[in-house]
Amino acid sequence: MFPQVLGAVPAGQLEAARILGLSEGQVFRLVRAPQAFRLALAPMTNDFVALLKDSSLVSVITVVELTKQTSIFATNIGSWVIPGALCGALYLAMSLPLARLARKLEARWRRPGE
Amino acid sequence: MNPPVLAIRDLRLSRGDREVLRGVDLSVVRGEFAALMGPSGGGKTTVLRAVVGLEAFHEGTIDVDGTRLEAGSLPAGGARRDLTRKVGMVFQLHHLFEHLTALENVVLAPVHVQRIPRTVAESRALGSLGALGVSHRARALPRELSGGEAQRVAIARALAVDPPLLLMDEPTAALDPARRADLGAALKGLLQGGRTLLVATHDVEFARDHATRVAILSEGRVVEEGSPHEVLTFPRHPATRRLLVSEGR
Repeated sequence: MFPQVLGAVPAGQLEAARILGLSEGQVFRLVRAPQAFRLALAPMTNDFVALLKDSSLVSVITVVELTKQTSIFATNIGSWVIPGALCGALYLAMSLPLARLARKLEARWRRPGE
Repeated sequence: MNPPVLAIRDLRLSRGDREVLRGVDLSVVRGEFAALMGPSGGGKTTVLRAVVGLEAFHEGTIDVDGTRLEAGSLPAGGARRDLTRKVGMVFQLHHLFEHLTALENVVLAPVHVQRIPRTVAESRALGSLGALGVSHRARALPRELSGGEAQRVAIARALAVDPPLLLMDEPTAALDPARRADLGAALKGLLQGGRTLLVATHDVEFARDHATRVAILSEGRVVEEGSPHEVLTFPRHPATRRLLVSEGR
């Protein structure tokens, strides 16, 4: 993702920075990287939400995370209804704020013309 | 006569097999507003890019207020730093830094290149934005600016390192007649402040109203130059006549 977004910073801005006398290091640090970071952050947040949900898959290999813990709890009490609902609510509580943050950042940093 | 701030001698530049510049000769003296005119694709922008060191040329020399650019390579190190102090450029599409406000765009070079304290740089930048009539937009991001405002911020940014020579590429391309007159007045203010301007444009009316000298670039050469009245009212070269016809003058 990062090489792609670094390439997405308009070349004209990089030329403008060089004409102003900025060194190549300064062009990267002050112009290219901040814009690339902004371009990457929203999709990166989406990826992070997906990663959070995919973490349940590791319960298959007996790593004890939220889903595995729910499974153990459900077996102990003999019902999935309350543990399942609690587990879902916890995933929502973790991923919804992240998704909202991603939408906010996308709206705030949307590039002109998009 | 004033000494030339910019002297271009026999500038030649090729891209692949295509000769873009075929021996451009052009001098611009201090305090002049020179309009470099000609049809699209005639090499106007390429000349400006070569002067600011963005485009390597193959033959000839460019002297910018005592700093010489040689053929064959882009200026680097000390030559690049010298050039930065002597020439600024306003691009046709402005190329403001999209993540920075108008004020931050203007202070970037003074703070990070000239190492001027930020408070001093900001105070100067606000003065410069004020002189160009856009200080009330200092906290706006580039995407929140109109085309005319963005252009003025780009002028303030180019002038922030105080270069004696300012280049502008097609500055009237996206301006309505009222904004064009405002730009003319702003550039006149810069001339009175001691700047020298070289403006690439195909806008005959703008050049006639505001330039002090006109040079016509056609097929990679300056084919005619003189006062706007001489060149644009009594054109001698066919390329100038074609330009006037295509612009409806």
